[in-house]
Amino acid sequence: MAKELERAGIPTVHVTNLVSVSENTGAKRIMAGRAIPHVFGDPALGEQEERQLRRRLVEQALDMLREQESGS
Amino acid sequence: MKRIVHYLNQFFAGLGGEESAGTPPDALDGAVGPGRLLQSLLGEGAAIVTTVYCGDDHFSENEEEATARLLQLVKQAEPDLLFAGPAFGSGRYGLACAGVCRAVGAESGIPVLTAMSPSNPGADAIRRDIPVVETGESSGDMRAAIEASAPLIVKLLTGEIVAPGSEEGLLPRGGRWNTRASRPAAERAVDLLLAKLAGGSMETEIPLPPFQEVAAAPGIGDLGHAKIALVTTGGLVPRGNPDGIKSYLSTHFGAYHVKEHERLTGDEFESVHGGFFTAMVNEDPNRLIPLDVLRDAVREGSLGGLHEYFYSTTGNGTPVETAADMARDIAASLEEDKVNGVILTSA
Repeated sequence: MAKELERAGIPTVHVTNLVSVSENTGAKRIMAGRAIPHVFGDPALGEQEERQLRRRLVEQALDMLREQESGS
Repeated sequence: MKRIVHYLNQFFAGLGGEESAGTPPDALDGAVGPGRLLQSLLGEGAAIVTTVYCGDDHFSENEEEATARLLQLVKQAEPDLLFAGPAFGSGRYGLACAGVCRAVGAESGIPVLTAMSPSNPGADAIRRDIPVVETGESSGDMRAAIEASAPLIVKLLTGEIVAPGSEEGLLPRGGRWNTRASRPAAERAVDLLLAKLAGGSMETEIPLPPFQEVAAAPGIGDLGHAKIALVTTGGLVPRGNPDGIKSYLSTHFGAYHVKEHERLTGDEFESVHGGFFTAMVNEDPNRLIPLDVLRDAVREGSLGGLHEYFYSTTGNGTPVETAADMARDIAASLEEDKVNGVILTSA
């Protein structure tokens, strides 16, 4: 899906914990999330800390969309 | 008697389903679960002395550490061969089988074998290096998968040469074997051409790799004026699943209006994904679709805007072509709505 969106000219960051699967299919912008059942959060943290963590992860994803080159 | 170690995930080792996917590696004596069927087919010459296992999530999230521990457990059993799986179409399990086989093969030099479906990402990861018995997509194919694996285990143990993949029920290994064709290449080529011209069925002798290269789209540059959309393969839908998104082998996606939402709540949304432990996402859907913090970013001005819909399907056994079709449809509507970038989340 990430590749088809990129092909259409829409930069797409794939946030996943199965990074190798994403790499094998040839996705261009891949970011590891926190964990498989909660990519953008962590139930072990308090509400505020979890929200801060999510914000950091989202900023990281946005950075990958901003940039020209892919990274992982 | 030859000694075999069998690798299983938490489910087939009898420790539970997704709720137990975080189980760390450990070992059990003798054959367990599908290993019992395998043992009955191997006869007297070989015995499954130890079953090692690991939860699928635990392996994916701690691959290095889990592999090292499993390697240790395998070594303690002093096996002559390692068999992993069958993993069928399960991606995490398949990747774990691939990782364990690769590590054990490299470290101890004993023959290793695994079994999974051709679409399993684990198969692509190792089929060139390690024999992979071809199986169906689900555990309904268990008996056939074990019956296909047993004779190969015997061959590997006795040092018999394993023939080209297609003749042994293995996935193509990308190797080349010298063989005598019944007819010369010129005749075969003309036959293929004629079949193609007639529009009939033809089977190429050299299939192309299934994944195409795609060039990266240019970066957004200025996020302050960019509109971002959220897409997920984690199966998040409004409670009650109004569009009937399937939990497995999904064929379509939903678009859900969230323009008025400050955040997503479990009262209103749930995941219908059938392949991961959804409780944490159902408790707080922002863990899958991070709407709340993106709203903060828009409010603070570091991000231009957020698309008023999010798109959702389940990436669970979905064939690549089906996923690509869905993504093309999503891309078309995103282009129309002048969306500049996508955050795509997967469990």
